[in-house]
Amino acid sequence: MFRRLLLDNWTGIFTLVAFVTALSIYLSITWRALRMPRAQRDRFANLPLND
Amino acid sequence: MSARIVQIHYNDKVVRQFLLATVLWGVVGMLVGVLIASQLNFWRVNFDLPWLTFGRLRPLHTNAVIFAFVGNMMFAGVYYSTQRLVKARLASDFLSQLHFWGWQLIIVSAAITLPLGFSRGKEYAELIWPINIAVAGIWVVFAVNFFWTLARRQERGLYVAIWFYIATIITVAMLYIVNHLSLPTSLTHSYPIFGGVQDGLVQWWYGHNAVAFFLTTPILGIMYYFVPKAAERPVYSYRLSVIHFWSLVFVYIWAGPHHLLNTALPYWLQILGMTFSLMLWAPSWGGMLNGLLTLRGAWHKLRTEPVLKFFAAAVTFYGMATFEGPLLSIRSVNALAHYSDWIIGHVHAGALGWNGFMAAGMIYWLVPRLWNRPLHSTALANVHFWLGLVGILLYVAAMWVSGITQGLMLNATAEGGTVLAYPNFLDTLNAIRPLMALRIVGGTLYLAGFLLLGYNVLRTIRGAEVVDGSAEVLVEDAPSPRVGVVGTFATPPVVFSVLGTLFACVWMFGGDLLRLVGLFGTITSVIIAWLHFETKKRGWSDWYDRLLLNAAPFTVLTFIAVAAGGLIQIIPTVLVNRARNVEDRIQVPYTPLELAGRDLYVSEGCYNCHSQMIRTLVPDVMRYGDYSRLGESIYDHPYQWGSRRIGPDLAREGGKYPDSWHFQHMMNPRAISPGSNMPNYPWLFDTDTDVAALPAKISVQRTLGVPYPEWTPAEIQAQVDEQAAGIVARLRDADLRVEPDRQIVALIAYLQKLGKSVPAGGTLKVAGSE
Repeated sequence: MFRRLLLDNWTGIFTLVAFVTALSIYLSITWRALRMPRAQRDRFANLPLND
Repeated sequence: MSARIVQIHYNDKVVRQFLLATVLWGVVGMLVGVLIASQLNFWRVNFDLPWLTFGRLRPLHTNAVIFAFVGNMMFAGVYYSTQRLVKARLASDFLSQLHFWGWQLIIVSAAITLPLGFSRGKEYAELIWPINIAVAGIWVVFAVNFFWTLARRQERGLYVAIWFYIATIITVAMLYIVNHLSLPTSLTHSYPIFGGVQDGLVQWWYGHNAVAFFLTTPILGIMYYFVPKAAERPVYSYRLSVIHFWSLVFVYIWAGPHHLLNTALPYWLQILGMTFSLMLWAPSWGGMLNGLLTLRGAWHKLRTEPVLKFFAAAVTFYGMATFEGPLLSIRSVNALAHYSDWIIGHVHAGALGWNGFMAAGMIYWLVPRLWNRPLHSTALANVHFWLGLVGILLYVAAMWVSGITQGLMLNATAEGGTVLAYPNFLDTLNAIRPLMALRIVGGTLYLAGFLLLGYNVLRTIRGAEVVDGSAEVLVEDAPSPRVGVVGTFATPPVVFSVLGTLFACVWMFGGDLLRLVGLFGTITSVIIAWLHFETKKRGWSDWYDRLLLNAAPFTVLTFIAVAAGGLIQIIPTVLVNRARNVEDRIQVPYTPLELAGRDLYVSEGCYNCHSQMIRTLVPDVMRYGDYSRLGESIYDHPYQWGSRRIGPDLAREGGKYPDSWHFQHMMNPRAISPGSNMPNYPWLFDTDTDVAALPAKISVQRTLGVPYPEWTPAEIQAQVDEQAAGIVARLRDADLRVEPDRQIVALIAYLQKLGKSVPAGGTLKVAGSE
């Protein structure tokens, strides 16, 4: 079966699957980040300044 | 719930140590860089000394800049910021000191062994196996110290900089260990367990991600801590930093194959590397904008504050380099740029502009605070900035022009595309000599600026009293919400991700029926996951919030994210190297004398200037011969495809010239090729080949799958003697005299073997060719 991976053209679909996977994770994280409460955002963003 | 005030005294001693080591090794690394840049233009600067030749010093330069300069800078920044972000002193003073002194010992070992010619022959992975073990050990010490500190933290929330540090620690460990898996043949020599295309893929999975996770993620963490500190305002968008982290960590790890475009690597892997490289534009620029916009309202300070100048320029260079990287990963652009100085310019925009300037900004910010004294001279720091900036711009611009010039000349054809316009490789080299000279000027300016930093730091700390930071923290005794093993993995996001991946693998790798099952399962998993997310949104959100407060599960999931990209690329190619999978042409194993010659080729670092990979591009084929097949380097441990052509490709060098040509060329390249910048190799004519080491080497090669028979040492010696005698006889016919046991004889044997493959069974079309 691995011989197919080396020689067959259809294995180009790997790229598509990987792209869709990465994109879905990217969109999920973006969605999650956009919904982060302001108080939580501000608290984390100010951590370096609270020595 | 009760609360109490705790006084924390930070361990800043180790930060000071790493900081000073950064300055010292930065000077050494850059000095060697200027020296080897000079060697490319003035061959006499090689001094005919083995330990001063370009091939041996270039690995010293790259290793010194990456692991010594940026490594020490990273450790200083990580240790300083982590303690303050998690409100805890470093867990162990002993581990901190072991980390510092162990790392310095590794650097010194590398600085001794590399010029002596002890090398594994893989870029940024040249160090010999005992040092590899030491690196892995000290990295574990670093990891234990870091995670132990996190476990003792008083601040439960993990700031985004800590995420970047976690990703760095686990990913570098994974990459380093896998790419350095070797079987020793002696105390100073080993063969990588991977060979040929497999070794090439693993190498660039490592090499590319050394850039990603050693030179980028930790420095981004440092950016997210030190830029807000210096600008005295919080990061522009914390939300953007969250997206930046996850998308960068998930995408970066897949992009390694863009170093092997248009080669014998399977086509889908090339496209995968290119696609993910292009996707990197988004997170990289998100991070750059986040860094730059953090300076909002503080831009006026750039006039007077050298620290902010360095940070602003560094982040800008990060943006430039990460724009250029994906551009270079487009196959058609890569056809021009690969093997040329454009790549050298690109990496120096990153190393000098991004890493070097972040280091300078951090050092100028930290030194007054760690030694409790104002910086000796702000004016000198400003001079440093302008010297460095002009130096980099000269360097990068020269390399852009040089790379594009040589790339165009090498690919140019005449007479309707039927012949090469510049058939003599040296014509293309001599065309870029003025640009290579300009690089020396740019590099020297940058080094001069860094020397000013060294002087400024020394004057500041001389006689100063060191000071360790401390803080009072209000500690709440209420336990934070824990995730636990079950809570980490037995949750809908993880379960659906695993199911989807498993079904996708069945779809990809299975037979006819299984492929259908896999396809159905993948689609079903996605649909159910979406429905579950829509109906139980709160559960998904709560799980993620708890994750951000728990370092261990966060670390495990980050590891899975980075491991996935590597495994999907590497597992199929692990089987590529099996002879039964190879079609068209297959390599013939080296004779003992040729193997000894190959080890000399690796030891002298010939791969730093010569590739052994004729790409599936018309100009490559016209210049060097038929394109390289996947099977033609199947037994090469390590692979030697190379990454830069300062000299011509050698994949089909065997039989192109007589033995006498190679003999005279290695003695004095200019006698054969007027205008060449290759060093002389006189010591190869005086030094004996290490034939005694061959039985152990061949035994290890056999273990690795190279089809050598069970030869006795006497049989090996007999073969060496016979082949050497033939070469010596042919040299004698050309009126050249040499003893048969000299290294030059072995090297000639190896060079004459290059490209001498044989047809393999089957008539399948070669992957990657169109």
